[in-house]
Amino acid sequence: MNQPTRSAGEVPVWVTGVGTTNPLGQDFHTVADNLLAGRSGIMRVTDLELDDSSCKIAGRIGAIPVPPGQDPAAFRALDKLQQLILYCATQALVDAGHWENRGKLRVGLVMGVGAEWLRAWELDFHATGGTLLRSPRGDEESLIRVVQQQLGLRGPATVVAAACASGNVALAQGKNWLRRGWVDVCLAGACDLWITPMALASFGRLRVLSRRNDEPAAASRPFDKDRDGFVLGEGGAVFLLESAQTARRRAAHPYAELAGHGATSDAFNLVIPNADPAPASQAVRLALHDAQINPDDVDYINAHATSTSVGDTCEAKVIQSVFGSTVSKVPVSSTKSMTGHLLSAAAAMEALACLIALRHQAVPPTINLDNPDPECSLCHVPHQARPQAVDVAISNSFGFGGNNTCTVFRKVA
Amino acid sequence: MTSNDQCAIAAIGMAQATLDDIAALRKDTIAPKHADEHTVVGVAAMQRARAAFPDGFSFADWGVVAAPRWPGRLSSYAPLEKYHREGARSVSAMLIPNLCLHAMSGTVSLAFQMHGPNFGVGGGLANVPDGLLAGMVVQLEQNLPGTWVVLTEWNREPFSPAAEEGTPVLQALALALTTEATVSAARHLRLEPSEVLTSQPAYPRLQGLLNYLAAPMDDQLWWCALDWGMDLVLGAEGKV
Repeated sequence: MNQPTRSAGEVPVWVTGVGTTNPLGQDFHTVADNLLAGRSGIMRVTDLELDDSSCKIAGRIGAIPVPPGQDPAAFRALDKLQQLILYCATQALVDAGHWENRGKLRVGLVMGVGAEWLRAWELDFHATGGTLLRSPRGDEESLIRVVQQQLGLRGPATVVAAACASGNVALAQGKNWLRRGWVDVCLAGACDLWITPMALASFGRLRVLSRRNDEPAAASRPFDKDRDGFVLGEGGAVFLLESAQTARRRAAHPYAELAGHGATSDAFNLVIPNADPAPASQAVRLALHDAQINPDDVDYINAHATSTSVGDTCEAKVIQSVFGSTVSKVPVSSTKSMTGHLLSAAAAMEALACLIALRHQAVPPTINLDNPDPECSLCHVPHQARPQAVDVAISNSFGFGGNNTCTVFRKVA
Repeated sequence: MTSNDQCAIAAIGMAQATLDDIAALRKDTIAPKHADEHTVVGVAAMQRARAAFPDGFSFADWGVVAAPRWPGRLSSYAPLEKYHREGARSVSAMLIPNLCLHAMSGTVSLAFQMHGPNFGVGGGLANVPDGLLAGMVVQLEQNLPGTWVVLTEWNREPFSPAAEEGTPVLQALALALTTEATVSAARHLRLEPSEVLTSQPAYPRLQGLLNYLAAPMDDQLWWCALDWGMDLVLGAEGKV
């Protein structure tokens, strides 16, 4: 596959704002504290009737705080996914220092959401017996457009979906919009709230969910020999992207440079990852090439590793294939061990984990990694965070549809 | 603003089908058994567009962007009903992989053995401009030999009120986007500054684009005014 050719003089894109709500917290600092302390956000699901579901645990987020500029009662009346997107986008704008001047800028909005409508139809079906499905009006607005209007943003807005890799695709699209001059700044990320009876049932039937219902915090155990599937999570993360040039001009404090992106497809199976590591390895290589770095420049790999038998083994082969002899030296962890699998929002959550590693100069751990699977021989960081220099962090995210993506983040000097 | 936000359209494929037609198409297309209606008709449009390329042409390094309008609406009703009757064990494992917004792009990449990026975009009223913009930016930024854009929507949503006349028809369009230099193409897709600013979001129907593409090529343009100061324009070479 051809590799994009980047000019040496190209202006870098920086992440200057973060907004998040996820099972580990509702702001960057709280999430960083919990992630680096190795705390689990997995708990028993108590608000849904899941008597005949095999999995009854998940990473939950609780009530979403009311963002600035919103009437509390009106905010509480919104659909929770709308609340989540609104909260994360607002927090990212505020954090970046663009909240007050957002109306003067072309602010793009690109959000990874894989099942906006399926979720809405399911919730409606449980509540009304299927009114939205049986009597479609044909003019229902996407939440992304509603949020865009609520925030008064002027710029392109869209939803992207690459299954569990959606957040990486959103970041790539946001960066591309900036590069082409379509926007002045761009909000990019992903949000997902799909812990529903149907989602739990369908993933359960796929036999990809953990059944360790009696020990929620120990259920998600990527790369562990005794792993038995993933745990669903919910939440999101949204990032404010802008060119280094404009960020420097206003003395913004960057979290990192969004340095590279790579994406390929397995073209093998809609659900099962390809045992041949070549296509996914190519996505990682494309990302490294896009960032103009070599494998030995990478200080931390945030693995996609969901805690499934097949997926973790396949990813280990991908990492071994790309990193060759350096694989024993590059720390790898899966933060899904603490957050669960946020589905469409997984890549955004894990981009956040990379920013935390870069900001705190520490690699987050894989908790519950008691017996590393010999089939997944990597430089693991079990149980506890590892303080070390982190200048470059990469995040792998793969998904249904044979999606393979990798994003590279670089510390800004 | 860059001056080269433009792609060539190397091939066009169209398909449309009623629910009865879709049942027949499931047997004829290479879409998988559990595929959503959007995916079945989208794949049929792809198969027609592929005919513009020589036999044995490889799409191995191509990408695909799929933009269905409300995918999974029809296909999710029966499983939800069944879930309420029979519980979690009645739910198919294939529900999520086939009904989400990314299902069609993943299926197309698999069916046509494409290893470039694949993702779904839009999913709602703005599926046409969302799909065209996303396909354009992938093609322009990722140095691929080509990017497929597949757009699908019902002319009116199934289950619509009975007062509306006519049988719902699912329409699909597949466009092969390439860079200017590689193909001498008849039509081009371009993003350009709007002459008239609009604050209303653009929700053009796919039918309008299909009508334009089905007509003999002339000086007419298809355009879509976006609400951020730009227009998407499609037309013959030299006119865009």
